[in-house]
Amino acid sequence: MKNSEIEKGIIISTSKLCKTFTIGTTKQPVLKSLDLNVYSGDFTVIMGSSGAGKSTLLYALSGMDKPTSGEITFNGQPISGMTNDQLAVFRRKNCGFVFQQNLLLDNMSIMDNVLSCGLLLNSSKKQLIQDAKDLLLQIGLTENIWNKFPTQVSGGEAQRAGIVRALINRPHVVFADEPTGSLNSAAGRAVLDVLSEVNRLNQSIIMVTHDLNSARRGNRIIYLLDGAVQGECLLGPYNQDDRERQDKLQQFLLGMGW
Amino acid sequence: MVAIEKYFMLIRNYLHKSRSQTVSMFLIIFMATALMSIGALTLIDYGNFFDLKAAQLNAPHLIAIIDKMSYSPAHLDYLRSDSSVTNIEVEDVLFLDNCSFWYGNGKNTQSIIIQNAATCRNMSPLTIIDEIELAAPNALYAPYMLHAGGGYEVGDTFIVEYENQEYEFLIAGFIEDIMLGATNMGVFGFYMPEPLFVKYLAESSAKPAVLLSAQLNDQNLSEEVSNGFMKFCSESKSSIWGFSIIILKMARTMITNMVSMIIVAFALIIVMAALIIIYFRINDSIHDDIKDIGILKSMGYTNRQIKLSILLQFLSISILAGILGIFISYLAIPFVSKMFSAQSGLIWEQGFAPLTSALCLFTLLLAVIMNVFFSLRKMKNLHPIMAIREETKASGVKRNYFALDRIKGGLHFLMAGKLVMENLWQNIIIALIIATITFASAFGLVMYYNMAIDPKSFIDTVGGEMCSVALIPAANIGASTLLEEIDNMKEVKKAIFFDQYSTNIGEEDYVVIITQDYDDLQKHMLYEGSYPKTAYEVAIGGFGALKLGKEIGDTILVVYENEKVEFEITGFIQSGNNIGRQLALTEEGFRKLKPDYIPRIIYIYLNEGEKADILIELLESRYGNAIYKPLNFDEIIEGQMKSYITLIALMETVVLLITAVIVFLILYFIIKTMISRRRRRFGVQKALGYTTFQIMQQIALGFLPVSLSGTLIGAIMGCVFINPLITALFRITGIMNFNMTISYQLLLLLCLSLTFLSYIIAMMISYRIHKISAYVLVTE
Repeated sequence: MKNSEIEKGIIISTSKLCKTFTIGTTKQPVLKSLDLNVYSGDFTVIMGSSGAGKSTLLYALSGMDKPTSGEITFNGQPISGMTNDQLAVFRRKNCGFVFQQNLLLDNMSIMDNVLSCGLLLNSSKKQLIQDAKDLLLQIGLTENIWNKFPTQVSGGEAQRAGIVRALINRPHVVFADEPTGSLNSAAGRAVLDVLSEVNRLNQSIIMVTHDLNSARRGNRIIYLLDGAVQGECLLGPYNQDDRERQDKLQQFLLGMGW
Repeated sequence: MVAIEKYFMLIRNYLHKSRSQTVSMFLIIFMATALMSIGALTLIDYGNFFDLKAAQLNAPHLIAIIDKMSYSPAHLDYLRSDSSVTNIEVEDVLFLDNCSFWYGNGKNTQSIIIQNAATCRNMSPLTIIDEIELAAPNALYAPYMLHAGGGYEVGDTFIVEYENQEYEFLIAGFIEDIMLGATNMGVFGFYMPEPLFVKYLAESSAKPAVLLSAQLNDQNLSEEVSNGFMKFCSESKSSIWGFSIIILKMARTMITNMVSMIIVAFALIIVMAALIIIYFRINDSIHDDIKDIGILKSMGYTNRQIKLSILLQFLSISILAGILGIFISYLAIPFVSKMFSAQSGLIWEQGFAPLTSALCLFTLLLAVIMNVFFSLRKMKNLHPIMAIREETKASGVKRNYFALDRIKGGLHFLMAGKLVMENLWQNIIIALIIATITFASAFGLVMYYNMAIDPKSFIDTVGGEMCSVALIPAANIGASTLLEEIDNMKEVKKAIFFDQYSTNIGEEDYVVIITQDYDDLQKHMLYEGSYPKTAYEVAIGGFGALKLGKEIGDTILVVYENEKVEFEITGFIQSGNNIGRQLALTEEGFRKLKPDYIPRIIYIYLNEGEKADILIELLESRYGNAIYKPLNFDEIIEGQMKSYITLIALMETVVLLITAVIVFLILYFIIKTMISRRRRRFGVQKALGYTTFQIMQQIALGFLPVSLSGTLIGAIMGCVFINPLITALFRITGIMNFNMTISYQLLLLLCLSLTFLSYIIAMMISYRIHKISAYVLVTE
């Protein structure tokens, strides 16, 4: 174990994690006896080819889906054996989600989308509203869009609102599944800037992506192949102008056959 | 041929793809058609049933039972002299006034007549149902109502108590009789084999009497002719009991007509609800298949072809379900008929009515066709690529209701509020459906409450002044002394004189009630103005006053035998007796018409907890022959109410059951659709940490204001409209202002029960959310 790992502390740990999908009579193993540690404060990026099991791993780590076998421990608490409702309570306390598509609740305003998540956990509504406003402003979403519906704002704005929603309960980990996948490059960059900024403030993030520019934001890159970790690369804190860091990542990915 | 195959292929695909939707559509249409058919058969065919039955049994249009001693050929001559009378028949009968017998679960006290089964008659010839060969010497043919309402079977023993003696008979068969076949006309008619009849005529204490039956060239004249004949008998001092077919029809069909109207109204409500559900179903089905529609369009199918294939899908289900519904309705009609028979004493046999059935089927098919075209109205402008992308599924929310940052309240309540507002129009329609079915349930509940639980107000309104025991002193005892003695008895709350005589205003007969102080009455008869206080004042039946065009303050000329006196109207009274042709006079007032009038009939009101039959025993033991057998009004009323109670209880049970089914079906379709359309939304909520129970609660709470407002509107409608509605239904009987007791607690209980039921149903249906994991919902 490296020193940095000890310093940071393990927030999620998996042991012999397996996930098999059954379609009819056909069984398709996606995650194969996967052992992995995720560290607190890291911006962990999961990469891999299509069908490697990136999203499956992400949703298993976040308690969104149950593994077929193996153990997942979150902050020292095993979550693999939890019931659906226990997992729901676990998620609201520990996880924030940013999805690829605009998965804001379409019958609610931007502000309500944030509060609908925050009110699940917070008893002080007044404080929560203030936190939501602060976060929205920090992320560049001004007051004039707070009362708009998801269909009335741009994709980038909706995705940033999604990030605020993910952060409102101060989760231990933010899980992001290709957060820039449905955005244009400018909007995608803005979203990544936000994620980098919150990570700078010590927010743990696990992000699945197949985009190199997105992957650069991470300080730890995990590469999956056929449901197992093929390799990982530690990059250090993100710096836009750090060419050496970028080269290291490219070299790593080339080595992985990306 | 190729085109037809194409349509069949589309239909087959649809049916195969959405088996559960097909089954649910089938069930609703089946239920709607069955109910519509039952309602239509009741409305169209039962409406004419009494007249058809009267014609089939060749019933007389008026009858009169005259004491044999006072009967003379003059009676016959009077009727013969009337040009409207076409047939007259006279026969000797046995008359047993005020006898009692077991009927249902209680004792019934009323007069009966017994006819000779061997007598030849054209009018109402003896028609025996379920006859068995009985060698018993005491065989008796009883009215069918004794079976349908009284629970007797052929072969049962039937005991009649008359003048302190018991007569035991064996029921050898049942008869259907229009004029003498019901318990609510005061006279119940039986037949005896000739040997027994002759024996009873000679040996029993039954009074020999004459039954006069007449048919007219127009049965609508029967009431007028009957009134004239009664007046003639009264003038010739004959003891008589008689009525016309018009009055009889009213009495025998009043409650059944009312119930049939309720069935029809309820069937209509259910059909309306079903049509709305069908609309939702079709609309959702098309919405769900929008992608397929886009694919078909992109393949080159025209709008017309797609519309026709969708229409054929729904029509094929509707035709099958509709035919089955109509078939089932014919199986259900005998149960409705049995329910009616218990009250009317007549057998309603409903054969196949092709026109009525076709009407129901076509109405429903038309509604389905209109629903399909209405749902498909937007398809014309739908571009294939939009359909393929399912772009019509965008949220239609325009305003941010129940904003979480501005409105106070719990998260789940506010989320539920959003759901309510998101589907406002749909929710308003659901609330209205629930309001109408709640109103129907409330109507039945109020009827049941007023007939079974607290019948005082109903009996007082329909029956007029009601005491517990009525007593007539024999001629050799002073009535005033007797009244004073009874009034002082510890069991008795009060005793008053309350007489009734037959008088005339113009050509119509009016029953006049006479008592000294109307403040002593229960006062339910008076609904406007005041009772008479002086000898020149009169209160008149409101329905009679309406016919005469008289108001309070006007005068009326009342005729009794040869006396004519003008009285000033001080108030309007009402009861179900004599179709509102009633008068109320003071004793002094009536002495203006009958100077030798001496009060005679004593009405006895009991103290709380005292029993009428115990008092009657006491009176009989104390006064013996000095009094005629006292009448137990409590028992009579109880016996008559029983047939109504059974009918109303049955109706209310059915109404409540169907209400529950409708609430379930509405919520089932709406919530099922909501879940399938909002899978992703609920998935996101689950991902964010909402538990299944919390989402279920949001959905169920979202319907809570809908069901609560619906039930409350229905109950308020009940409070406001039930009495006017019942008044309108009973108006023809002479009751102008029905004032049923509306138990607010009971209505509130109904509202809360239905709301609770809908909440539980909503929770149960939305439980299906638990099957789908957040992961699947988000990633699908």
